[in-house]
Order: sequence, then structure tokens, then C-alpha cells
Amino acid sequence: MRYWLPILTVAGVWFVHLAVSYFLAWADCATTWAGLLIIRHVATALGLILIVALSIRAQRASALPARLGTRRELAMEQSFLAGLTVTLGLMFIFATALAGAANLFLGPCS
Amino acid sequence: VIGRIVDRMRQVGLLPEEDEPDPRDPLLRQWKDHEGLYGWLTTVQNGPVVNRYMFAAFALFVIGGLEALMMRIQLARPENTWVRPDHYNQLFTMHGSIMMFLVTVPLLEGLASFALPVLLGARELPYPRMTAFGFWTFLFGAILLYSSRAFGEVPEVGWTSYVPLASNEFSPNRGVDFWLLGLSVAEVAALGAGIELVIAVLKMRAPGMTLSRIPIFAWSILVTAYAMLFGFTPLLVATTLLEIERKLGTRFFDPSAGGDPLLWQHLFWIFGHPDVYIQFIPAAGIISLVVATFSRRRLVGESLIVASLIATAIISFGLWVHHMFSAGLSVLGMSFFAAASMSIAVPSGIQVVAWIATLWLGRPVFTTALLFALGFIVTFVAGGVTGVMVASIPFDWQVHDTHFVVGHFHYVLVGGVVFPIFAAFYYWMPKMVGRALNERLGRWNFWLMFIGFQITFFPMHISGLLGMPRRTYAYPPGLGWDVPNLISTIGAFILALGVAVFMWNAIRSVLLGHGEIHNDNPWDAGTMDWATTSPPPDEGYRVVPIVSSRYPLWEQKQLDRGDLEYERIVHGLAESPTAWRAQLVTSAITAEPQAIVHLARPSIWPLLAAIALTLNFVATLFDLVGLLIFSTLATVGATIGWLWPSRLERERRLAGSGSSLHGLPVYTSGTIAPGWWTMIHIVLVIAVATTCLLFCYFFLHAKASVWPPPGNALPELRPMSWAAIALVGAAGATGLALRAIRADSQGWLRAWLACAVLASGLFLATVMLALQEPSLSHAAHAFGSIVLTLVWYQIYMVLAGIILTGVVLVQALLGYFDERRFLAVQNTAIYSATMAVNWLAILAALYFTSGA
Repeated sequence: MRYWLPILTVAGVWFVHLAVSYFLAWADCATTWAGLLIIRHVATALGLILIVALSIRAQRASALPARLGTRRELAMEQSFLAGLTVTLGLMFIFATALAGAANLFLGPCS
Repeated sequence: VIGRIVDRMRQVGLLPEEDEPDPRDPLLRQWKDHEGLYGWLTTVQNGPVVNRYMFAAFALFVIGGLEALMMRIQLARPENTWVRPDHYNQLFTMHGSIMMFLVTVPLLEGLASFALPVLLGARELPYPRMTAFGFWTFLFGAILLYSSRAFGEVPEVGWTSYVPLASNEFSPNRGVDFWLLGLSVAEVAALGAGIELVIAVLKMRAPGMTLSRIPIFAWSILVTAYAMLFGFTPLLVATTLLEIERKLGTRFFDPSAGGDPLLWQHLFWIFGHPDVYIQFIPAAGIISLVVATFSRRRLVGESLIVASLIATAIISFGLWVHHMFSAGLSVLGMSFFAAASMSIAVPSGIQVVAWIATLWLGRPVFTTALLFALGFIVTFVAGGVTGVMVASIPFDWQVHDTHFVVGHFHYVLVGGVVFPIFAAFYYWMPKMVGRALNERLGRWNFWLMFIGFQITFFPMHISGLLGMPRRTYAYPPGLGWDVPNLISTIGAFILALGVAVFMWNAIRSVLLGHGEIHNDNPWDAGTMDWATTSPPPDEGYRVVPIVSSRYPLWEQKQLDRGDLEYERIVHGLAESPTAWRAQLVTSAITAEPQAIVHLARPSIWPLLAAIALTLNFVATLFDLVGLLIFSTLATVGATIGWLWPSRLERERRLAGSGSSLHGLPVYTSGTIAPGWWTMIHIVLVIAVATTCLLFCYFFLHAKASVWPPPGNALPELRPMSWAAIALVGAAGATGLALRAIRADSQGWLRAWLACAVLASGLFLATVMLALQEPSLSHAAHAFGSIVLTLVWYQIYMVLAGIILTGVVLVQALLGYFDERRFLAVQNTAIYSATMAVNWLAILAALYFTSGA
């Protein structure tokens, strides 16, 4: 599971960001507190930072087994999974940024 | 001629085979079916079962196509009266429903079930009886759906069955019930297939086939199978809620009693949009195989394609709201989903670029299969572009429910799914039945279908932009719709002619036997599906191959040579065991051999279970209480019979079979055992179902001004908490039973299992007493409907758990377990723990959010 976790987490961050953005937009429309706009932007920034951090961590972790003398095949597969995580990370960075951009242009009650 | 056709149909498993003497080779004898009709009904071999699956699904494709032709004839000219309005409604409902649920998904499941074992180097799929059960349930589900015509109560509410149109008030006959229950049978088959395909890819690969060497098609099936588990479960929840609304009068979707019709739309599209990708992703996997084979080179960017498949599946679960852009949601909220809808173009685009680059850098051989692949690329890109257009909210408002949308989704589904399926027919037919389809007829087939398709569906974009609504049976002249509709109708006949050419090609090449092939790998493909004889022998691989490349036939000189340890294992397995059907299990990431498992032999239980389950749905449909009770008991009985250990297992004769040759254990548990993985995925399905029901609860809660509504209250917390303690106790008892059997303590095993049954029984009694609360009614308000549904859902799950634990207890009393053989006990412990967590989650949601 630990090998799959980065992939699932990267995707999970995107999905949670989507759900949280929808909820915050709904809450922002229902209240008059201006701080929610900032929280919406912070949520997007946090999502992007998390995806980048997970991708970097996966990439670094894939280099570890070779140094620790893990069997060649396992090291190769870890590197493959790290590559998948980074590629997925790039796609989900795009998807998260695109969703977050809506907050820049539209009001919560529009 | 008829004799030849009958002979060929026998050979491919469509008709019972004639009696043949038993082969002398013990391994072959082991994989042989029973004889005659009984053998035909009890076979679990994926070869004949898949051929039947494909044949039945293709027959439904033809029926669905004929319904489409009737619609096109009706729309050929304005104010046509050829079809009555209610008949037209029935035509588009049945056409959409069977094409989406009973044609493309089953055809792709069938192709996956056929191709995976040979592609992965496995002898069979992990659960052959599940494959057979899947076919029978699919067949009976389709028959149930179409039997509505015999009763004159054909569904006519569209393939989306939106409420309130699908409610009792506006659809008082049984048409919607036929739709809901017929599809529910097929959904059960899809969930079973999903779990089986996941286990096949993760645990049944040839030694050395590490994750990075899994063929792209197998990756696509792995991703699809997970999408099926996450997608079909919400559909099962949705259809169940609508059926109990119609049968028992609950109020989930009734706004006058706290319900909301939008809840149906959410649940349906949480399934509905991923369903498009459940069809597209395996189709993309087929295209990857076909493009690589006929370009004579490895795919460009294979890892990128794998990442794209995963990203496509995941993003597809965040798009469902774009089907509801005209339902009155907030613009900002919809924009998030519009962004997700546009984002999915990125991974799809990556795949298209990779295929084009492969063709560009390769030496393409333009066979019919590759022509269909190219037709797919052109048509799917066009459908994708219009998809990005309708992901734009203002544009969607303009064209919503018009023929533009009909054109768009046919470009995606016919271009993106049907063309790849035809590519697969031409590509895999030699492997499946040992006969190749004629290439000359194939080119006629392709060009007629491709040109016919474009002529049919392109004009719909124009008539849609001119405002023509979909699902309308007639239209007045002079609106500019006449010419596009006439052209569409002409195109539909050309498309149908293309399908007819394919049918003739199949009859001529396969049934009349003209499509002889001269070697087992006629396309000179590089993947392992072409490593066996064509068609594959019953036993699959006698010597399981050793893989060190993604294209072993291109890059490996010998498939049975490699790592010395692996060689010893695969050659040992060829010698022994031969007294039972053995299958090698490998690790999920590096595909190292871990164990040998016993595969099921032919059995009547899958057929009986499918009949019992279908009768259950029939009894629900016609309100037959006696039949309902009988069929429920029969389903439980058939399932127990199905899962009961075989005599070989009971007498522990599996152990030691050839272990000196292959050196692998036979009895396993934990992460090595496929059965453990299966239980984990069943838990996943339960978690998704619970999440869906809790989503319904919170959705209705958010819409309500007062929650709980006046006059409604939750049952007392105290008995519900006692029930929780009982379930935690049951989980603890099964955990202790597991610990006991690991220490080979038979007495404690039996005692703890008995305690678990008692504790679960206590849960049922406590909850049933608590439900006597008079202020909670399922029919008064949506609050009572959803609360009682959650509680009854848990009750049914616990009831299933009691049966499971009871059966394991009986097996324990018969002495079937020891310190090495305890997988059933372990799975019972996992299930019991899941039930406890499930109930705690439900209680937390109910009592923390309702002021209790």
C-alpha cells in the first residue's frame, strides 16, 4: 500500500479540493464574512503545495532503495511508481489550478 | 452448411459439445468440462463463457441498433406518424439503456475476461465461477428488461430515468420497475466482474511481469475495474432507492415531503459520467495494443499512457455535475466542475498524441483493426472537442437537451468505444476462435461504418444548434431541421449496412470456416496473448511463461527461460499438481511467485445462484411475497453451495501436491491470498455504498430548513449504542477466533465464532426493538426514509455477516481449518470489523448532525 499511497494521495488532494471549493463557495454565499474568499484561495494554494510536495517526496523516495541495496526489480518498480506519481502530480496541478482560478473571476453567489 | 455452422458453434462453446473421450494427459483431463448439455450449463472456462457473453451482447447491440433505425425512420421527415409518441419514448429508452448497460460494458468485460489470462500468463481468471455467474446474471437481466414488452409495460422514461417522471405518479405502470430491476441484476454482474478483474491483474501475472511490464490493455482493465467498483455501487444505491420509493412509498425524491429530485440526478451521474470512461478506458487499452502491433514498435510514452489512464479514471469522478448545468446550481459551484471537465482533455490528449507518435515513428500495416483504430482517433477527437465545448456553462445552456448533445455523445461512445470494440473483433478473432475475419470484407465494414457514422451524427450538431430538442418524436417543417434529419437517417442505414457486412463476415469466416489462419500469431504481435495456440487450450499455459519485457514475443527468445528460481517453479507446475486446477499467484508489484491456488471446477452453482437472484428481482417486480422468500433462501443456499470447499480441499489433499517440484505453498492467507484481496475489495464496495447513503442523508439535511422535521425523531440513542457495542463485540470475537486458529486451537475457534454469531444476533434484536419508535416513518418524510434506509441497510449487512460467520462456524465444527488453512476465518474477521465501523459511522452521522 505504501507504494500506491502517493498516487492515491495526489488524486485525493485534487478531489478534496474540488469538494471543499464547492462547499466554501456555498458557505461564502450564505454568509457575509469576507474572510471566506481568502480561505478559498488558501485552499487552492494548499492543494497545489501538497501535490507538488507529494510528487517531490515520491521522486526522492524512489532513489532511496538503490542506495539501501534493495533488489533491482523492486527499485525499478518504485522508480516506475514515482514516475507515475510525478506525471499524475503535473496533471492534477493543472486541474486544481484551473478549478481554483474560478474563484478569481466569479463571486460566490453568481 | 448448417452442419458446419453447428460444428463451429459447438467448438466455440455456443452449443453443447458432443461427447469426447477423456484425454489421457492428466492435466488436460483436469481442465475438461463435463459432457453434453450439463457440461454446457456448468462450464466455467473463460473461453466458452466469454464467447457466449460476446454473442449475447452483440445480439443486444443489433437489437439496440434496430431500435435506433426505427427512430431515424420516424425523424426522416417532419410530422411523421410512423411511430406513436409513446412507442418513440420506449425506443429511445430501450436503445439508450441496453447500449449503455448491456452492450458496451459487457462486450468490454467479455474482451477483458478473454484476453487477460492469456495476456498476463495466467491459466484462468481467479474466479471462474464468478465469470460464469456474471454471464448468467447479465443474460437474465437482459431477458428481464426485454420481457417488459411481453407485459406491455416497456420503460419509456429515458435511459436516465429522471424523477419525478420515473415516480409512481407519472409512471404508474411497471415499465420503470422492469428498468430498475433488470439493470440491478446486470449491476451485480458488473461488480463481481470488477473485483475479479482487479484480482486477476494484481495477483495472477506471470513471474517477472512487474508493474512496469504489465501490458497497457491490462493496465486499462485494472483502472476500469476500480472505476466499476466506485461507479456501479452508486448506481446500485440509486436504483435501489428509486425502487423502494416506488414499491414502499419512501420520499427521497418527493419535494413535498423533504425529498429532492436533484438527489436522483446526483446519484445517477456520479455513476453516469464515470460510466463513459468505464467504457472508454478499456477501449483505449485495445487501441494501444492494436496501434503498437500494427506499427511494429513499442508504444511511444508507455508510462505517460498509464498515468493518463489513471488520471482519466480519477477525474471522471469529479465531472458529474456538468450533466446538471441547467438544474439551477450556483455558477461558481458549476465552474469548478467545468474546470474538471476541461482538465480531463489533458490525459485524453496525451494518449492521442502517443498513438499518433507511435504510428508516425513505426511502419504501420493498415489492417482492418488499425483502420478502426484510426477511425477511433479521428472520431473520438471530434467528440472530445465538442465535449470541451459543452463543458463551457453558457454553451451548455444553449445546447442542453438538443440534438447537439446527442451528436456529441455518439461521437464519444461510438467513436470512442464501438470502433475500438470492432478493432478488437478483427484483432482477437483469430485468437478467440481460431479463425480470422476476412480483410476485404473488413475494409467494406470499416468504411461503411465510418462514413455512415459521420453522415448520421455530424448533422445532429447542426440541427441541435438550430434548436432541435432530443427525445422528440416529431417536429414541424420549416425550422431548418428537415435536411439534417433526412441526411442523418440515410447515414444510419449506411452505418447499419456496415454492421450487416460485419455479421456476414463473421458468419463466413468463423461459422462457415473460411477464415483459416496459418500460424498462432498471424499479426506478429509482441504481447503474450499471442503466445498460446489459437484458440487457447483449455488449460491455458501448461508452462507458465517468465516475462522480462512488456513485449515478450518481440524481445524474448524463450518464454520458459529466465531467472533459475522462476524456471524451477514454472516447469514444476507443469508436472504437478495435475489432480486439480492449479494457478500460480504472484506478488502485486514485482510479480514474484508466492503460492499455488486451487481454481474452481465446473459447477451448476453459478447458474442456480443467477436463477435464484433473478427470481428474487422478479418476485419484487410482481409483489410475489412467497416467491420472494423462496428465492431469497435459494440465493443464500446457492451461494453457500458455491463457496463450500471441494472434497479435495476438505480432505486436505491439495497440500503437498508437487510442492517438491515447485516449492510453493498451497494454503495461504493474508496479502498473499487472492481471497484476502477479494474481501478487501468487498469492503471497498461496502464503504462506497455507505458513503453514497450518507451523501443522501447530508444532501437531504442540507436542503431541509428544520432537521429532523417536526413530528420525526431518531430512535433512542441508548439501544442503538448497545447495538454498536454488540457489533464491536462480534468483531472482537472473530478477531479472537482468528488468533485461536493461528495457534491451532480448534475449541477456542468454535467458541469465539459462536460468540460472534450471538453478538450479531444481539445487534439485530436491539435494533429491531429500537425501531418500534412510533415517530419514525419511512413514508411520512424524507428524514424517516433515509434514516430507516441506513438502518435497514446495516441490518441486511449484519444478516449476511451472521450467515457468513455461521457457515464458517459449521466448517470449524467439521474441522476444516488449521494453523495454515484459515482464510475463511480471516475474511470473516475483516467483514465483522467492517460491519462495526460501518455502524459507528452511520450512528455518528445520524446522532451528531440531528441535535440528538
